[in-house]
Amino acid sequence: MTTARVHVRGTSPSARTTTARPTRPGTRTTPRPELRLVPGGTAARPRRRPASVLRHKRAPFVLLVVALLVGTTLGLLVLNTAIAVDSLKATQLRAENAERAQEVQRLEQQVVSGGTPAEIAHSATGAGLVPAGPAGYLVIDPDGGSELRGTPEPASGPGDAEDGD
Amino acid sequence: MPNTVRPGAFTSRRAPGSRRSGSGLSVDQRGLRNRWGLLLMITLLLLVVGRLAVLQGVDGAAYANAAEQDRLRTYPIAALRGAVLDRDGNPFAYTVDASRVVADPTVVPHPARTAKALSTLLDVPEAELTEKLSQDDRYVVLAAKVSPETTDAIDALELPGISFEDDPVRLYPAGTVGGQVIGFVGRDGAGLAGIEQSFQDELAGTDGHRRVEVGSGGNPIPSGIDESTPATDGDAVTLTLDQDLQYVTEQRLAEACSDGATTRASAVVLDVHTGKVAAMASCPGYDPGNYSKTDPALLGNPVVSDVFEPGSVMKAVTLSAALEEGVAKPDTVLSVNGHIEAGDRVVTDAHDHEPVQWTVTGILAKSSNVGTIMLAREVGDEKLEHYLRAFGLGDTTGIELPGESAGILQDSKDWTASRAANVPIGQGVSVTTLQMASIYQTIANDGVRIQPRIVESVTSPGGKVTDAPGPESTRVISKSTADQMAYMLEAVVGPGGTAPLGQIEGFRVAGKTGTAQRANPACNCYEGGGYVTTFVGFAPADDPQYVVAVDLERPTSSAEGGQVAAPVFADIMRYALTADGVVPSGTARPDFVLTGTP
Repeated sequence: MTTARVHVRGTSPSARTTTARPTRPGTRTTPRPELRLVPGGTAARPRRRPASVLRHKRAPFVLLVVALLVGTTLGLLVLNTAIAVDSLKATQLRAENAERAQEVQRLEQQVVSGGTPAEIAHSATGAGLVPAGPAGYLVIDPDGGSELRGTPEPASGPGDAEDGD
Repeated sequence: MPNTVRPGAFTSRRAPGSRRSGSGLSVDQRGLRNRWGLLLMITLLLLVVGRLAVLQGVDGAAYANAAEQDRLRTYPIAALRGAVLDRDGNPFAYTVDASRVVADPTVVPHPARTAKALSTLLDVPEAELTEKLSQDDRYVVLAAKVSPETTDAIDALELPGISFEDDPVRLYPAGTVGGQVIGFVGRDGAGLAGIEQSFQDELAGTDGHRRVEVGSGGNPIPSGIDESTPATDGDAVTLTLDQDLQYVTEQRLAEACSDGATTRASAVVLDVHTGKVAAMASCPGYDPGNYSKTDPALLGNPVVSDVFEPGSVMKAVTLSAALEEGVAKPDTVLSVNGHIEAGDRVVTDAHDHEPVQWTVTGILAKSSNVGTIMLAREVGDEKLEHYLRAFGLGDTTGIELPGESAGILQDSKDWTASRAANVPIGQGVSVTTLQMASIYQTIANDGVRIQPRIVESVTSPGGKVTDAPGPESTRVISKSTADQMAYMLEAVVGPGGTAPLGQIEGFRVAGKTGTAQRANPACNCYEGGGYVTTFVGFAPADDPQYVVAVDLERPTSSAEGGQVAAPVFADIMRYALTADGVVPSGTARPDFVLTGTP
């Protein structure tokens, strides 16, 4: 097409140079339709019209796609945020859980260390308790009578409490 | 004329002489160039496509994996080792969470400043920390077994390059109580002694791990990979021991050990009807939490691993054999001399004496060597050996503890004349404290021997309880023989017996003393080996509940079993009976006939 235009431009000066030639009357009229015919633009015009109509018809579809894209992106963003929030919450709860477990462990440790025989014996001695001596047993008979077995002895004073038992 | 410069349809609009105009090349040359160019392009394209295929297809998975690994961090989750509990659930050993503080020195910006901040919290010298933090390394351990509280405090400082790893710590809250039975774990957390060793598989558990996808800062990516395989904690092992009785036993033994003469004392308490060990201890003991600072020679459990010649306590076996074989009855009277010839030597009673008319009960109550040897000769070596083995001598008891000794008992066909006279009185035969207790458990349990055991059950983290397999029980002597033995053993503690100090107020007690020379491992002889004084007995004699065996190692024989071991026995037995709520039967002790006329 460009070459065609060049060709047209090139012909016009040559046409001017040949204006003196009488043998060709009406030469000015003959190239004009040539000018009109050569550009394909005139032929394209009617084709463009249905294209613009198509564009108008495509618009809702494009809008739909764009809307879908935007919607999906936003949805993804929301979902991602929700997951992130949940994940953070899970981490936080996990940390809290660990803290509680730690507290439980600390308290359990306290209970255990306070409940060892040595610790109890120490606390008992501290509270003024003394190890029991030989025990006496009162055995109740089925008929209601009672019988003393063993020889109960009063416990020694706190000062004599040397035995661990 | 102007047509010569007129641009034609097929002429280039580029300036003539331009390199790209291709002027100077013929059509053939241009075609050749185009073809080579095309070939070059295709080759390059193929190379690129090929490389892409290799990257994406062949090595794709590996690269993707490597990239993921770069983002993935795997943190081990340490399994908590199972607890070791007494029969009431009181812990002897348990494990708590703790951490190992580690550092990546390449990330630590100011080693000196970081070390200063950590020094007091970790209780590690600042210079040591500075040196560790300055190393050209990516992983150094700054401190192990750090408590959660300290870990939190360090975490709050937000020091770069400092992180934590699971490093559970094993605690022994009762300290020395039960220490020799429980054993201990090494640095790697594996059991090295006692129950910790024999139940390593059950106690250990399985470690887990957590895999997390992290960002460049090392923080987890919220929606990234976060998967964890939880750790399976170890099973808890429940023992048959009673922590309180164990404590009392150890206290009493410690008292015995501090009398200035006793170098070692052991005791074991058995439940008569089940063979369960209620207490087992030796002094000096050790604290499993502090084993590394204990003399390695003390890190065993002498009750099951140390053997000694039991002396007169063995007479119970000889007399059981005599009664069971019908050789004699408790009231059979023998004329017992003060000494008896045995091969190349002469065996005497504790004190040589003129012939005495003792009943068999009297022989046991007075602990006459001569009388016992006379009865043993009636029984015969082979029969005697049969009874010794039936009572569990010369073989391990099968208790769930490592390092158990079988003791030493020669075959009777190898016995010399002097050995044949020594074995019936407990010389030339070696036993552990536990074996000794097992003999008396058999007599107390109407003649049925029950394999001693110390593990009650194993409990999984889910709470599933697996009871220990039932122990083997075998009848060794008849019930009537056992009853007669109980009667005769009660005479030992009674008036005229060798161990009145073994009596317990309100209860009837049966038992036997023993004093024997201890072999000196240095020379394989008796010189310098000292003595072992023992007392083994059960109570109440008329309805036995517990057996207590006590043995003390002493350098001299100045005090016999009746003087030093019997009081220890009585104190331990008194507590065992009282704490268990055993009520005395109230029946009077029978009158024992120790002498008679043949």
